[in-house]
Amino acid sequence: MSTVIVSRAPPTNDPNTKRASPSPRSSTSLSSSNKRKFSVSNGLPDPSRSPSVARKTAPVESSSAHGSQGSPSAASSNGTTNGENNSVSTASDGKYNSDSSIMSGINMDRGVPQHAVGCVHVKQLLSSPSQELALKSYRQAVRVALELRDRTSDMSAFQVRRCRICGELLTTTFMCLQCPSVGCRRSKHAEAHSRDIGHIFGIDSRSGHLYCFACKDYVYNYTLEKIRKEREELLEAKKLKKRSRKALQISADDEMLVEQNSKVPPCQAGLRGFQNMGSTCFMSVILQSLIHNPIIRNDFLSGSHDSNRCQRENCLGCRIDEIFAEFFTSPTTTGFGPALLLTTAWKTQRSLAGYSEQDAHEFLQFILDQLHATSDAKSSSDADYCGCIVHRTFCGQLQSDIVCPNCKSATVTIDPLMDLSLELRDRKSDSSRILSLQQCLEKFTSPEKLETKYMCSFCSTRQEVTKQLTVKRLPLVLSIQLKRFEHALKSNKIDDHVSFPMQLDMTPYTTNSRSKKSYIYELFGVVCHHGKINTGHYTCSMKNREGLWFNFDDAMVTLSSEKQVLKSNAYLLFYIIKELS
Amino acid sequence: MADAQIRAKVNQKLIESGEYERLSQYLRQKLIEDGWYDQVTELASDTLRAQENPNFENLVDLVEPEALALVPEYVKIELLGMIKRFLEGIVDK
Repeated sequence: MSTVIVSRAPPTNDPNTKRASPSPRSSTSLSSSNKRKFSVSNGLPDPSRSPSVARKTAPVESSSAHGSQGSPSAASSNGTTNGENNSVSTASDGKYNSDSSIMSGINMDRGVPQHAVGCVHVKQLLSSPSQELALKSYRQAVRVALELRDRTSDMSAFQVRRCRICGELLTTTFMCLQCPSVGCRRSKHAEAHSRDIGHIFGIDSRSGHLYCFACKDYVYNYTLEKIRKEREELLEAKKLKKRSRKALQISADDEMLVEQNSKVPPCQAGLRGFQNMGSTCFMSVILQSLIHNPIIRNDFLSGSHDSNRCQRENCLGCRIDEIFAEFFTSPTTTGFGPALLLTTAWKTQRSLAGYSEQDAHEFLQFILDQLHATSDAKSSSDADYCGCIVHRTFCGQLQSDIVCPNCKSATVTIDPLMDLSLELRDRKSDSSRILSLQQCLEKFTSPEKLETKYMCSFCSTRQEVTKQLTVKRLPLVLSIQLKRFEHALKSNKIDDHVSFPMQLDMTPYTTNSRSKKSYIYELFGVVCHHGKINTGHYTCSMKNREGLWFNFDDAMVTLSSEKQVLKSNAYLLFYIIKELS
Repeated sequence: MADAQIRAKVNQKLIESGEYERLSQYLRQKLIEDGWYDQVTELASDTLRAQENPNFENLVDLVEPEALALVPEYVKIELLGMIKRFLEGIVDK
């Protein structure tokens, strides 16, 4: 199964207010470099010789998922299956990229690997005597394509890109690499040109990508992609203010220093299971939720808790840092045995020792508490304003309004909120019906008449007050516990399916729900409990940077899908804010 | 005026007034909201996985018809309405 990387949000085309002045690749400038004879074989090469480059390995078997780990077919990265080059670009390049989503917005386009030739035809071209000319033409064409792309209300920009045969303006066209011809894709005019004249390379007139008509595919050659990316980055940089543009420039020395001293992460970095070391699945699922939490992950990977320098004894922060380092730099894909983390956890909290199954939610609270305690960045004892990564990520505020029915006075209290624990049933009305997540949230934030009477400090009478909880401040990551375990007369587990959405709008549950802002969250993790209340097994589903869902069952990691995830019986849900405004 | 000339003039007005850009953005937005992008992405991924000799042209041939069919009616109607209104605005009475 090839790793086709998919991302969520579609292209955004911000009109460029600062117009770049392009040098259009006009016919005159091209015909002046008339000696356009590329020593590529005349006519179309035999298409059956182009290698089939689908990468068929499942993402879990990491060896050729990224195409750069020694498998021969990976050498020619085929456009349609090149996972790295797809949708994770941060530039608005007309592809379905994730500009506005935090889930993949933090990811960076790593480009194609150095040995990527694109296809056998490009390889031939670039090792022929015409290579200099080819590179020059490509560079010119890319400049035209990318500079024109932002000029969305400029007629002349569309004219340059129009098909020279049918004159169509509003359609995908290819600029010929070897002559001034421009043909459209829709009516196959570009294809006709390649067939009739033998010019098999076309440059997409909007994205600048190279298309090989012999292979009938977009092809990504390292050298050419480098040229294209450089131009794209240059244009993006021009859009930023001068001050921030300076910050983007990196000296050649610095670049070399970084390249020489860094390690390329292995394919599907961060995707690994945990070995079950005796009913430790409750730990594994929580650890996976941290590994796949973009904010926590980025913080640890940026070195905020240096386990080599930390002086603390039995430091869980160090253990987590070690796990991140291991998961993201080691090429092994076998399950990781968290022995060291276990002993550290046991030493910190005795109750965790032993081999009994514990509650995953309790473990989550424990580990977050420990990460806060061992953080160098923790500030005040006031949780609301603590600067540690745990609080910065998970801590919101819950407002409680208690209203006296007699004098209508309200007592407002604001408490820190690290997670939401939701009741699944509406005891007042139909106590057998299981609510959806949104209904649970609605119930949680609706006014409730308290049964016991309270003394109102304003009117000094005993009243049955009304209490309402609302979320005053939403955290970046919202962790929700569905209260499936009832400890009433008889301990009981509610095993029914509770429906939850991929995208959750938290606006109706906030204190100022009248505000026009919308607080949309995106699901990235689900923890499920299987079995009976005391004996059971935890598994989880997590979404990775590329938008793919994976199922984790101890050491076994499998590719899942949105459909499957939505069907699962969730116990814990992890949502992350979709856009950082 | 000849057909081609009218077309050219309309295109010019469409682009230069910024309406083309507005319509494109609006369509994009509606298709995201409807989940069309996600559907087509999934369709494309599945199609690619099933291909022995994957390439762009094959992918387009297999996916394009269904992708077009998946566009919800109301989006088509809305867009057509917007285009019609635009045309009415630029035609000399």
